[in-house]
Amino acid sequence: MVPKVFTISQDGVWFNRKTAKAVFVRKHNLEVNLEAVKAETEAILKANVHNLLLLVEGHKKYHAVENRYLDEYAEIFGVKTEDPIIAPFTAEIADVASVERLVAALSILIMDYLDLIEENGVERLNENHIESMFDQSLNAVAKVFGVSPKGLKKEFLKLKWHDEEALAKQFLLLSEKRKQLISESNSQSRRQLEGILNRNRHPNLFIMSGIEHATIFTH
Amino acid sequence: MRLQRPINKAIEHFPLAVRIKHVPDLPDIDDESSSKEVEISDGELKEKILLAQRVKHSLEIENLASTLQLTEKLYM
Repeated sequence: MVPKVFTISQDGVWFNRKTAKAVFVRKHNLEVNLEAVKAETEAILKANVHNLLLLVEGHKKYHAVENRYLDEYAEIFGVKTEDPIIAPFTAEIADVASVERLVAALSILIMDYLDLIEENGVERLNENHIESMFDQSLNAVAKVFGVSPKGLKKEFLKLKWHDEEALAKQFLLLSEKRKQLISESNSQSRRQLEGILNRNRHPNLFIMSGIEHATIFTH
Repeated sequence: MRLQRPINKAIEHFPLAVRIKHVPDLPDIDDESSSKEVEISDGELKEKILLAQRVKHSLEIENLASTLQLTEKLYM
């Protein structure tokens, strides 16, 4: 889960930028992300870099440790910050990507939210606690995709839970749907990034985003 | 009158075309207006979550998601 640190080449949208350093986290809210972000921003401070622009996914929106650090950094040093990432898991993105909203919601519930519940120690939690976490997840996913929580729960239960091989095939398809959402989000984020870079001529950039959005900065 | 026959033939085959387009591996989309309650029995949820994780690991589907915008109010 160690983040990837890149120095972006000075061509394409980055043309004429002196420094573009990027930290791509593999999963938000991990101590290792904070360490990497701290190390890179401290290097910027040491080098006495001025005229810096931060491009931060979830600026003032996510409260992950690395985001809280960068928000504070920007405030203390008066650094301009922009968020170029269009959130991938929304009804709008599902519609544009032509992914049925209920299928999109199911894919995020399966691929992401179950991990969160599992990480909270599903083995030692009692059934009521698990059910409450599941219902909260279900409601949150249903809300962002504009579908009924009851309909989503039905789709979850209708998966082929009694046939592991068939279930694996369904998961692969859901994973593909999720990739479609990210791909659409990245293509919109790319346009947003170009707009931000045209408006802000800062020669030095520091980027922090999820690794699934790395392509908008590196390709 | 002579043109009518091929059109009728196309209509006759239309339901078959719809059946062929159906993808069986994806879950069917239910009518969300149904008022029937959806119940999960005791222990079933934990079992499904653990099974889902096992299947995902066996497929090596790595979760790299950026879901915090959805979850920060839930678990943090």
